[in-house]
Amino acid sequence: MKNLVFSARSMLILGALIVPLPGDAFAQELVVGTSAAFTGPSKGLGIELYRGSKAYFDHVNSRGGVHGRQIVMKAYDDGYNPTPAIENTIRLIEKDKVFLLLNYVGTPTTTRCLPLLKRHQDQSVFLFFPFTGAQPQRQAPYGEFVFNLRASYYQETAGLVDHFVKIGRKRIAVFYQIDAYGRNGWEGVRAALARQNLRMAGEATYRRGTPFQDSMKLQVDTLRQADPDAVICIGAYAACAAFIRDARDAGWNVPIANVSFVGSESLLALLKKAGSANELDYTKDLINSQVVPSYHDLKLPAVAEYRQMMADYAPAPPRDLMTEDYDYLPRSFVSLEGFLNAKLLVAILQKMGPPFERRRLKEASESIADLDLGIGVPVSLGSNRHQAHDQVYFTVVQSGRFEPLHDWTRWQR
Amino acid sequence: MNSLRLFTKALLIVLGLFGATTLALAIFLAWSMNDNLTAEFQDKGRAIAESIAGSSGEILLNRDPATVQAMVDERREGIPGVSYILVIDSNRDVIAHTFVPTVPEELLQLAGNPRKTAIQNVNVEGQLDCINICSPILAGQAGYVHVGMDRKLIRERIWDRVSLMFGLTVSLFAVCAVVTFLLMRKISRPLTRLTQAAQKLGSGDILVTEGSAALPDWFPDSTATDEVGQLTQAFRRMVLEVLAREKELNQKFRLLLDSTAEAIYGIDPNGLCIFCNPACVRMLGHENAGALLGRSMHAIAQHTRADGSPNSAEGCRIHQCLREGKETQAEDEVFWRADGTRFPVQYSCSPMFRDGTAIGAVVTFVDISERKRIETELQQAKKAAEAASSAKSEFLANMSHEIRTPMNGIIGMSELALDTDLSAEQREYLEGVRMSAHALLKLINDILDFSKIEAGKLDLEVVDFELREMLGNTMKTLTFRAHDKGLELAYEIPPSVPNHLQGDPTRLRQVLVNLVGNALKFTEQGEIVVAVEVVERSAADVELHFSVRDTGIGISPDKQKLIFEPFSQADGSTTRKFGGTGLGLTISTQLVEMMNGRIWVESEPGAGSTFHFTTRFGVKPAGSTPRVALIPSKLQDTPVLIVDDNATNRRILTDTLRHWQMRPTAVESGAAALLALRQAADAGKPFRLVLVDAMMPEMDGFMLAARIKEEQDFANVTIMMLTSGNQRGDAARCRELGMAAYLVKPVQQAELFSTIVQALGISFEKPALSAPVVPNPQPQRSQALNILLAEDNAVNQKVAVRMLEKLGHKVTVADNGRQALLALEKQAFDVVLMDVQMPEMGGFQATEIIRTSELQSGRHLPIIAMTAHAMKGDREKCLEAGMDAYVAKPMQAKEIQEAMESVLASIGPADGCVAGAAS
Repeated sequence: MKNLVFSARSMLILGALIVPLPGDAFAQELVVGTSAAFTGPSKGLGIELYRGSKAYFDHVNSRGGVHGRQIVMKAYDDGYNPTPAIENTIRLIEKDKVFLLLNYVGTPTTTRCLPLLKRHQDQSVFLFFPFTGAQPQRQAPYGEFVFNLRASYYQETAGLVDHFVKIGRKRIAVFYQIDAYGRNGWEGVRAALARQNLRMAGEATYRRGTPFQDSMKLQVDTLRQADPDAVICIGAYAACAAFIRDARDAGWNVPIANVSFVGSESLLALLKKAGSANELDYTKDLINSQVVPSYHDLKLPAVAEYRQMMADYAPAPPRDLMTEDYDYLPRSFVSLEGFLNAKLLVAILQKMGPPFERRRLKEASESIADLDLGIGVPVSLGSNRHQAHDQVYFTVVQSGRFEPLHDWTRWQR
Repeated sequence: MNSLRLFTKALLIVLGLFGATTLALAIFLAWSMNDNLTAEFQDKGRAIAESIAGSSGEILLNRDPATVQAMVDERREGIPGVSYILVIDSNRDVIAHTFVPTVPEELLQLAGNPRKTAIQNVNVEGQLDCINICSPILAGQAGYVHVGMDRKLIRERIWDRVSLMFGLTVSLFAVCAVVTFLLMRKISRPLTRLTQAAQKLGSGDILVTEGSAALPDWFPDSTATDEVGQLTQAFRRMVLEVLAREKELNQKFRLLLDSTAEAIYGIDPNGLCIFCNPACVRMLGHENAGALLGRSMHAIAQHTRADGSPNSAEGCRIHQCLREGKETQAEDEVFWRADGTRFPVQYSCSPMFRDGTAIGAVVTFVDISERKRIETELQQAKKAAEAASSAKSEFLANMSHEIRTPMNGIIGMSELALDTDLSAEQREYLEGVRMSAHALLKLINDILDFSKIEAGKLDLEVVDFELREMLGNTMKTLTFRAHDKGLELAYEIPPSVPNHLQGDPTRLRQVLVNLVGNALKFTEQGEIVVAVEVVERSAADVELHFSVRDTGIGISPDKQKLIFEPFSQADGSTTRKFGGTGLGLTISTQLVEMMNGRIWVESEPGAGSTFHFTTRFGVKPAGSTPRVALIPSKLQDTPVLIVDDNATNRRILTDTLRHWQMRPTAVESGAAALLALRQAADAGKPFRLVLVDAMMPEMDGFMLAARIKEEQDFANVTIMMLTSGNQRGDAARCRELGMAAYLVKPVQQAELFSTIVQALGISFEKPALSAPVVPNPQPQRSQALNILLAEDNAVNQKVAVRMLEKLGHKVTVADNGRQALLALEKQAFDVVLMDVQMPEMGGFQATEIIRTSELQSGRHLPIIAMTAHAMKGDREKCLEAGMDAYVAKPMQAKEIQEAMESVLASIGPADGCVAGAAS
């Protein structure tokens, strides 16, 4: 907690002392590179994550930046596909020569880019706070090049499994995206069940990129045959919303849980829309685990800041990325995560101070200890700890929005 | 469209070839692609599996599925053809996979080979059809990697390529087809236009307009120099030529129609006029052709028949011609003119055809009013001529009668006078009268015969007769004339010639007499031989060939034809020398032709002539039997010596005797005969019979006979004399010399036969047959008849009376028919000789009355007509009138005696008295 207090304080002091430095443009700016989904079924994740970070960077930049440096976001769209993600990464590193990489979205994309970090380790290219809870960036051989803020999928799924088992729902099935992300979540569920000497009741996959309009009846039927007590979904919001819709349409009322990656607001929006069309409430018995606090928890200073800055700066991605229709969410778990990512990065950069050299990033980052981001608990990083925050939050839809879940007994068996 | 047909054919063939080729290529392509792709997929799958297996060992041991999955994802998404990747650990737990929604159970059951990568096909119904490549991880300790390479993709790729190839081929083919089609159309369009033009030409759509040498604008033309262009131009030239010719033909046709005198019109199948010529318009009395064209010709010209009854189109011959397509003609119909008058027509109607179908008819007709008139006139003229001809015949008959009546008197009276005591001078004069009268009678007979033949009034009889007897009698009558001139007259009938014939012996005799008479006339010395032979014979009839050969003056070749013409002889001078009318051969020719034969002559001037003729007679089977069986055995092998200086006679006699199975030996002189007799007697085979010719040089027959009688050795030899002449005293000399018999040549076979039989068999005193033996035959004294002679001419009365009285008959004379009837009432007669033409009552009328009266008495009085008529029908008329026979005037004693005997024999004497028959 001391670290956190310190950090906050020094941050404020430093912010006031920012002086523009002479030199080239690069010297005046700190460019952070991003590859994320700005198009496709998961575009809500990339866009909202960007907006949350952008709001905070705008705030910092408006106050003179970090040690006089403006923080500029350089973003490319990968559509939640690995290959463009790799190409984007190479471009960011070699052409744009960004200072660091930030806010990658998705496990399959991020996982595939990890070898590039290792490839460029002599240039000390680091990835900060990817929007994924997968294991590869948390462990050897690539863990050393990545710094995470959020809890892992293992932690999220273990939380869900533990709660379901506690209320007697031991037969747990998994609906997952058949890729590194899904398999990571699947392994998390499997491992959590194994710790309780339980086995997975059933499993079904879907192909990444499946849109909401597609039928998930096959998956619903497959899982329903296994007669599970609960289903945990490791997927993107479009596919998970489709699965939920088809399960409920089939009259299956089993509790369905999603992990943070699903993008709760996006999921909710699809379910609400489909529900109103079909005159069904698809949001019942829906449990989403989160890795950031609820943005409705106004007691947290970060939430207040987030809300203020989102309102003040009305952040938006570069226009050239916004090729598809999208309505910005005023607030969301994803943009809050982006906000927190930016806040932690700025804290690291403040602490690092000039000269802004990449090779100094690792030391600066690993020196963060007990930093108060304003989320109720301090965050720390270290040479053996590249994940700053471990807490998992559970939410349930109430009054049309995801509210914190405290009482699981309603699903007691 | 022809082009398309042609094109379609070519296209189909090419399409077939293309199709086969493409199919073969496609199969080959698919096969090789399948091989290649399978190998490639296997290699690829193996590479993937082994790379995953190789790099995931540590990760698996660390149990990091997400990393493995990321690796798997990378492989699966980046490499086409990968259907799935499955990584399982040694517990067969799934570490990473790519299945939606779940991993098929079948795959989890697949056993891996820990030592090497295994390849096998996996087929899960409805889900998978893959080549599964399984690589062990850490020799199976850490698990296995399964990579599924999609065979469906292989098939899709093959299909893609094959489809592409098909597409290309088809496109290429389509391009080729279009190009070909365009090329062919370029060729065939002009051809099609030519064809259409030719069809139009054929259907007559192109009509030649007067004076236009150009073709219509639409007619295909080309200036191109290629083959089609040349063809087009050639076709144009041809069509122009055709049109020009058609025009020319039309002009000729028009000219023909316009100029011909015959009326011509054409009608279509409905009978409507399609063309007509000016003659037609004129004849039908119309102003111009417009009045006929397009109208029914039947309604215009044939609406009514000649008799005024309506003529229906159905029954009309012209419409029949239209219907049946057969030519038709008529002469008995009428056509009607515009003014309502009619005229007789002769028309002919010929159908016109096109492609075998009648498309109308052409009728040509002429107005035959004039012809009808001429025919009528001719008819009348013919009737008049026939009447005139009939009158002429009647005149001839009358003339005949009128001439014969006095001729009868002249001949009869001169013959009677000659029988009286006359001075030598008187006798000579009377003989001259008689001969002249006979000549005149012959002349008249010839002329009458000729007239009858010319008038076609000579009819041949068909009666049974015996050829040998007829010929013998005929020859006999001529013998005296021949002997008078010192000529040999011989005749020869081989046994093969049938004897009993049917025909007209009178006319045959007439021909023979004429020919032999001519021969006698033109032969000064030598012989005349008549021969008969069979040319052709069937059961019913026989064709005989007669020849009369003489050794006379002959006829030069240029005259040989001429002599058969009337009133001609070989030489004008001969007429004066030999006399005669020259009608004989003409009459003979015509008689022979009437007997279905022909006559001709072979002659050499100075060497003689041979007249030939053939005739056809019916054959009576009874008479055809030779009398071989009747030959007495005595005659067989009897040695006979024939002595005659005439070779022909020798041959005839030898043949005849040989036929009778005797053994004749012929010699030519008396000396030779004596020698032969001597030799035979010495040889012990003496001749029993010697036939001796009376007249021979050196030693004549009588001298020979005397010498034979002198020899004792020849006492048993019987001698028969054959005389050519009719010398008075021959018979007396024969008897004096003790000869068995003597015969006048030419000898009839039957006569010779019976004489020989008698001479050898019985008495030598009596001749076998009196008639031939007697040189100047006296009429046989048969029973005296009581004869009524009805004859108006006083001279002829006397002639007949004397003649009959000489024959030993009693004669009562009546001047006419009435007197004859009166005489018949007074006394009975055996026979009546009735002149036909008499005053008061004619012969026919008298006969009719006699026959009528006989109907009650039941008797039948023989009546023999005497008529000077020698015309056709006389005989029929007489018989019709009820007479029994008929004798032509002038009467000959022999003829009348024969007639009487014949009648009495057949009828029997009227009063029960029997007429003595000579036979």
